[in-house]
Amino acid sequence: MIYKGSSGYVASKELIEAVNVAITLQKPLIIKGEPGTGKTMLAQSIAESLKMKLIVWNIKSTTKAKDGLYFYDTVQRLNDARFHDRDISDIKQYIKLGKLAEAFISEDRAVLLIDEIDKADIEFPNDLLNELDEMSFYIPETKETIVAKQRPVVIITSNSEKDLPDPFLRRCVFHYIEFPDYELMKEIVRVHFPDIHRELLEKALKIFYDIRKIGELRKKPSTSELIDWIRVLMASAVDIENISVKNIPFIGTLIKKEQDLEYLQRAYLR
Amino acid sequence: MSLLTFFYLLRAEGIKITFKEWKDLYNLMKSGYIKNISDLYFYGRYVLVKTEKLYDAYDRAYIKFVNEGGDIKERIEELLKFLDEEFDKRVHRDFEEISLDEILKRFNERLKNQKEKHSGGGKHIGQKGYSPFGSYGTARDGIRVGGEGVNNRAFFVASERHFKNLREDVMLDTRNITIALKKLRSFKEDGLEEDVDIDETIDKTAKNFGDIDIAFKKERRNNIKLLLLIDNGGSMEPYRDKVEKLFSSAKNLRYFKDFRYYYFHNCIYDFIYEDIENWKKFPTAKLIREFNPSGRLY
Repeated sequence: MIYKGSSGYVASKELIEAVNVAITLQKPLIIKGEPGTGKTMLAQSIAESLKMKLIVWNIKSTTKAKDGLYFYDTVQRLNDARFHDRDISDIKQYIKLGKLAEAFISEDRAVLLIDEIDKADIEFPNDLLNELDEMSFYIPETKETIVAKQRPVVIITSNSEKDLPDPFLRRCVFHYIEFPDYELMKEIVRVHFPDIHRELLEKALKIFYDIRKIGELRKKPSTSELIDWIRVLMASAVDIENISVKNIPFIGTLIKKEQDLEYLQRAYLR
Repeated sequence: MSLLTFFYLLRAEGIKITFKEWKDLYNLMKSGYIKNISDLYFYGRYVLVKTEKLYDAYDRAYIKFVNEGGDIKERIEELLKFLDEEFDKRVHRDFEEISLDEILKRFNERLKNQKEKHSGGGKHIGQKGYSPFGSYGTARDGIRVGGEGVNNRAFFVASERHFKNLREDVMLDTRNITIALKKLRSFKEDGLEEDVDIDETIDKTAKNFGDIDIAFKKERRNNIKLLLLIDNGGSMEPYRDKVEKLFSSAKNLRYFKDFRYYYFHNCIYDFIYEDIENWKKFPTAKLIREFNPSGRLY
């Protein structure tokens, strides 16, 4: 089973290699990099090209490691006990499996994306150590052990907001995606807009990279913003000649923070 | 040069490689992923380096390793053979328990013996064999090392060293300090009410004549963003090191939701400093913009 990239996704040689290493060693792959470097899309591309099911576990600041395993709905059971709605002796019906468990019990090998792991509490990755190592876990309530039928391909993304704990990292393969350079970005844009006018592409990219160079911005525009911006530019048929750093049409698609917009207006757009 | 030189060079650059990770590299070699010195660079990086902050250290170790020269292919085969024997010998014992140092020692001994038997000068390859400036791939006496042009890819990337800015030298201090720091954490009950408050539930249920009445409470969360500005230079110089150590261990343990530190001199002017070794400037205005009222300043 070798991943070779897929048609709708531009992956560097290194990224493809890292994916294959993770598949061979059967270890989770941690993908780090700036927002907009296509970290989340990678899992989709792997699932697509290897014809596997994709299971996405989106991590939020409130997500606990246990959420990925199972959830025992005690409140529902209590409620049922009170109103005698259902037979409450069967605990199984109150156990709801999480995303990790879903990937484990899948008959065919699945791709599990643990998206933005750094959003969760600092203890989160450590709480998953055993489960990812053994690819199994135990549910004490039903005395059941859930074992992975096929070890899923685990892709973990992180925005480098927080460093991940060492014991966790030791068990993973790691790759840092650099922000695409001018040439690679051209290729990426062309995947989205195959018939884009060459002049528009170059002008848009130049302005995009100029804005990214401004160190004072709170949120630099990333690939997805660039794609959105180009989409509007193409749909609105703006005169290419008139676009410059001083005159950026639809700047709201590129710059999302009010403070940044104010800053740009003060510094450049006057 | 043996592959173990690479291991030591990496350790010397501060990349703490465990046996488990070195074994991953070994597994990749066995599966045929690493065929030449260029593959070694990339595949080594995937399994040995776990943060982009150490990419630069890795690059430097790699450059040193390559500059030492030697027939890598032969060395890799040698290491594989040795490890195979070692694994066979210890197949019934717990693999993790063998001390790495012991293996390294024994391997080095073997290497020494090998060298005595084989050294005819034919193995050594001029540095130019790896130089990015051409004539790569061919050794002085005509031995080809690894793939041809591919060799250049890794060395080129490594010599660019463009991960330099991602470096972060973390000073780890005594455990005592870090444990003490844990006390600085303060959890706040925040967000949605989603935890069942057992005491309150029992209380309310009792008052409700045994009819169950469930109470919820907010969950405890660690929400402190810490900003540390260190007065640097002059009279504060003797204390700087200690304070730095204290807080770098805090960062390492990730006790806080966010933690950053900067330096200033005399007074906070337009610029503060990210790094005092080379006085890297950081605009104060940006700092003020980035930190909202949820942050704390010390």
